[in-house]
Amino acid sequence: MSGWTIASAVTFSTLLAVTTVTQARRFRFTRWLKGRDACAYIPRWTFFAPTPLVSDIRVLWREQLTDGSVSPWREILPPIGGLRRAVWNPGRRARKGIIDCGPVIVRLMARESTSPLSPISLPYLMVLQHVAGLPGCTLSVARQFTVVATQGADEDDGPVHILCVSDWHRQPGVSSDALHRPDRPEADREMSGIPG
Amino acid sequence: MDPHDVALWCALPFAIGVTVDALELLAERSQLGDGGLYGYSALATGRPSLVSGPLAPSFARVFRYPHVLGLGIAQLIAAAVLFTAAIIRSPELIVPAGFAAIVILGARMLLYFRNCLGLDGGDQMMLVVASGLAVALLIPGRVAQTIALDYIAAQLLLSYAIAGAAKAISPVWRSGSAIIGIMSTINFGVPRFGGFLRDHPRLARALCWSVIVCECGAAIAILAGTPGAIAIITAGVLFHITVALVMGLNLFPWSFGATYPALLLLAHSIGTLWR
Repeated sequence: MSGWTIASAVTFSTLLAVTTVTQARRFRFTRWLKGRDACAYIPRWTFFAPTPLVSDIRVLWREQLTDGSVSPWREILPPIGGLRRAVWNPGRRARKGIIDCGPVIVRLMARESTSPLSPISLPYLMVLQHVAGLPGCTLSVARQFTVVATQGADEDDGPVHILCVSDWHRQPGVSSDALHRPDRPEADREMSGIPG
Repeated sequence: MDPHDVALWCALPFAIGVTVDALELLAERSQLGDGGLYGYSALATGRPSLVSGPLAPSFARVFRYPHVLGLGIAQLIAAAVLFTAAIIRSPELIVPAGFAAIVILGARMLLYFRNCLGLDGGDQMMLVVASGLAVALLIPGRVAQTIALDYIAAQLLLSYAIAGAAKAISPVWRSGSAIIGIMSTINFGVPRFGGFLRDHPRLARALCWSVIVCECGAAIAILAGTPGAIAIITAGVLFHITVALVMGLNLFPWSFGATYPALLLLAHSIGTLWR
């Protein structure tokens, strides 16, 4: 038996064993191991199980203008259906990014709801950076986003579940006194303007 | 069955999948810029080594927009080499094809390291196939090459078995409500079909159970050798094309399709064991 054969057998059987062991998320060891898998080399094969996502996670944003008025909510990366995506689906990764980021943001905001500061996490910063970079009104002083869940087609006018609302974030280059900070309950009442 | 021959059959759908994925990355390049969801300024904060480690400047050079597009372009060039080798089947192209697989593996791992969120099972199977192909095409010795291809087949069977078991223990999958819920989303379903399934819960339950049985059964079917592998491949091709059509997961048919020649090789070996 050659050295190549032994090396190949040892490497690949180890990889298979590690893949098998890391499928169960409840063990501390597997979480530790996956935490160190920076390149997502060890696959997770559970595919939509045991609990699949049964709603569309969506992110909406709005902006506050210099006069304190607030724009309507707009959606970033709205989900798109259709047969064409079976062959060509360039927005797949960005939409999956929203699906992955949304629940983490919601969880962190729920956990730190008593803090006056927005919970800083990678998913939060990813969405915030995107929202801040979107083309909008030149008089925009601050932007805010919300994570919502919907089920069914938009034409069906189904319920929109508001999962969390971010704080207002100043746009780059805007001074802090330019920002009108509405009370949180008022901001939440305005959620009725969400398209759905 | 010659391992190189089998590896080149695997390389054909794999190269197509890599090409589609890399072109999609380039088409949605604005998402990788600083105003995009995957802008590097935000992403770097998720990994301390990208902010202050000794390799931070090197990573920044590769990962900042527009340099990061080089990872997509490198994959396109490597996929072209692999595709050419798979079509022409000349012995001189075996080694370049092996290096092409390494380039794809390296570029994808760097992209996954950079982006870390937004990956799916198709992306993960791409790494499995790239690893197996690189070893099968580059290292000497038939046995070692066969082991590399068996690894691809074993990961395929493991993926089906784990996905099936995870669904089998789930009450929402056993009751049929999982497929109704998934189909009712726009991202991974067709809401009208979801509504149809809600009106026909028996059909929803039957669909859920057929997925569970097929996924769990794959690891058993392979014990029948080549006929078992053909049954798995037939069901798998139908399943992944349906998933691509209905759920928009367009990388799955290519990445999972690339594993099927390796599954036939493994089935052939199992078949010889029974004789």
